[in-house]
Amino acid sequence: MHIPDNYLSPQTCGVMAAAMVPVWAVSINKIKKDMPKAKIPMMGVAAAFSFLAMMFNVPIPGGTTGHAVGGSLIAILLGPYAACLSVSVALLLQALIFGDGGILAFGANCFNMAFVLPFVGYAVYKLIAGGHQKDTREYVGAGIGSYLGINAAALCAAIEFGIQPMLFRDAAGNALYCPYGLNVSIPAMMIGHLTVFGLAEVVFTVAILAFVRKAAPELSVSTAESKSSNPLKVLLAVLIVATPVGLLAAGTAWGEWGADEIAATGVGYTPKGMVHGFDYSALLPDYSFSGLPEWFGYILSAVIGVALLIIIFRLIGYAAGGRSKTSHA
Amino acid sequence: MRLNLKVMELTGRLLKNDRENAGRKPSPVAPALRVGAAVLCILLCAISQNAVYVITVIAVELLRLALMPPERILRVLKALILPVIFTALIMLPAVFFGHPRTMLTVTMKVCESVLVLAVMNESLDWREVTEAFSVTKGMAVFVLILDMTMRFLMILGDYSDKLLEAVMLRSVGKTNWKNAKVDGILGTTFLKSRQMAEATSEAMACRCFDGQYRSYHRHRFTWQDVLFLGVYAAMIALFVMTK
Amino acid sequence: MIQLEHIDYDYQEIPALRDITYSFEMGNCYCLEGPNGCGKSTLFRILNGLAFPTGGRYLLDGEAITEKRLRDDAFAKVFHAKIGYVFQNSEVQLFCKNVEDEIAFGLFQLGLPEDEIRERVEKYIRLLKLEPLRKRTPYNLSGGEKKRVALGAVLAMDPPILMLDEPLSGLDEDGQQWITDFIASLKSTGKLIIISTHNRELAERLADVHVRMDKDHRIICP
Repeated sequence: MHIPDNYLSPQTCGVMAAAMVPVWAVSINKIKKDMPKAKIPMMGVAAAFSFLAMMFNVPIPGGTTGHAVGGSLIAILLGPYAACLSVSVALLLQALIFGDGGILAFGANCFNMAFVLPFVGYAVYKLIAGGHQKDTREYVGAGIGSYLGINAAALCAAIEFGIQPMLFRDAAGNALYCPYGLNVSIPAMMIGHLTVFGLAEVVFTVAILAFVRKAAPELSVSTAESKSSNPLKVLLAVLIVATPVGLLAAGTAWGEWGADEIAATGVGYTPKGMVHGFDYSALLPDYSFSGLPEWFGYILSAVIGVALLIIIFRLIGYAAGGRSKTSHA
Repeated sequence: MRLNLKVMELTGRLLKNDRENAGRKPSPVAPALRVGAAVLCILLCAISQNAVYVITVIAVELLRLALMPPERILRVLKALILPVIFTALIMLPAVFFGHPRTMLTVTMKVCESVLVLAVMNESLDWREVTEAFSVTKGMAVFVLILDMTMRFLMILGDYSDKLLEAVMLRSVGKTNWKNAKVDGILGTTFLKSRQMAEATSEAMACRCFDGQYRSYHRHRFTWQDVLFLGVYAAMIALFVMTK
Repeated sequence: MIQLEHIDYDYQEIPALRDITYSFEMGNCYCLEGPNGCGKSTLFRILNGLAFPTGGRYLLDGEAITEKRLRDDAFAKVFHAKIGYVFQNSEVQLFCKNVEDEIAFGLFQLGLPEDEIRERVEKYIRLLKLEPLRKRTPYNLSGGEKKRVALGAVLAMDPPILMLDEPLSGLDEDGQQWITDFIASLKSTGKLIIISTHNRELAERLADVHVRMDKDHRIICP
């Protein structure tokens, strides 16, 4: 669901970014006030889970792929504000280092995946599960919440795509940015997310939630532990090593084509905004290296992403004053 | 802000480090192997012509860094900043000449070298590092010099700190670097260091020093050391594969 | 045993010792007393072979100790192994990375077998209550702890002669009490112990013989 650069007009990007600024501000305030300082490093771990979830591409018939996001999971464990910040930082890392998601489109991507997704997911979860924990009602609530969350996010993305051709055309009538209108973008995005990708999100959310409740309680804001335990580390390690599975799904996700691919997808021309648009070459584009097998590049990217996320949030926690005497790995 | 705060901070940090590390379990793998691995790693990265090797090493070190407590992470990052920025600036002309990859590669190699050493420094006690050099026969003198240097740093650091404090207490008005008679303090510290050196050599003679300098705690080779040799193998294998 | 015959010592033409003639016998505890500047520390340095008299002779077990003789490394080693010297300022004589190494240092130099070294180090760590300080750096410890480590390092070599220069300096009351008791316990081991001190109580408690020196750098009372 990552929107690349040049698919949304700079105006759209600007509006979405402006919309996110108050969201971020409120989230940061809420975290400062309400989050126990020792739990802030856990936000890094949660961000790492989200980052990894987004590397597991799932294919659907028709040739496109998608992925789970995990935003609802973080919202359930650490609160929706924490989820907003964690997913935002993960998306930032993906955009800057791996070229996954545009730089200018960062605001829009955050709006969809770091704001709409976790908050919708959390609201639905709370409605269904109430204060329950560790029982079926919680897992049902988590499942339904995450499903609705990711679909709400997909809908927002579809709308952001779809209004581009209506609003931004050149003199010849060709779209400057995303060339597919709402009548194409909504079904294209929703079909995948209502079925397979939504399922992936549900499975990811419920499975990890069950794991955390049983074996790794420190990842939740409702418990007091803050040292990351061995089961958690093992799970992260397993997920990192398993990331090459995400390579099996060949094909590009809908709306994530490169400028050279888009003409072939049916529209027949390459919109001008993409030809002359903002160009950013990331360090490890598409999580790969030239000269080495893809799976190696994938695992390496996973390692770098997870390590950086954990480091960033540990430092934030430290700066916020969470200097605990027993701060260990 | 007290003038001698910086000196106190340094000596305080060394003391705290000493207290903390006294309780820490010794490294399960022989320190010599770990120092050797770090050196080999830096060497291979320097020779490597492929950015992949360097990035792999950086990724592994970042993971090790992520497992450390935040104070240590901050120290490593502080050690990293200046060299990386300096290198990037120096290599900037490469970008203008049309070779951006060169700049990136060299900067990454510098980043990797500093990172490997800094992470090793944080995960090993300085005593284990100097002990690592005593593996080869004939290096006893070298290790002795290293240890003596650390000792004089700590003792004389403390001494000059006290001198500085005495100067501040006797001064009227604000003390800053200009009027704190730093030259006098340094001179006195130097004289004291000479005295101490003579006294130390006498003390060593009184205990029959004949050139031997060994550690009481001898590291016994365990399965963990054998396993660690696998790291050497992996590094070399990766290097060969990415040539 | 130690014999001093008409020892003179001048430090850059300033007299430090004048006509010192004395014998120290094994099994006794001697307390060297006197005002500051009378030459106690200088005498200690001569006894330890760190300085050499400008006149007179110093005999240890019948052998003359001279600068020339001590240039022979083998002889110097045997000589120093016989005398254990605890400096006034312990910091000076602590130079190893941790307490264990410090105590084992002399033993390695003596060339003892590994198990013997291990046994002695463990014994003196227990005896001087240094167990919690094993891995600490000796020169970073507190005054009393440093003194104990220095004692341990010296005693582990099992020297027949023990010399202590102002053993109570820099210690608090508890520390002083502890050291005094400890030295008292050493008296029964048959060693020759020479202590230099200002402390009357220590001298009263421990000395078999009081050796007093005066401002003229002479021994006035055997």
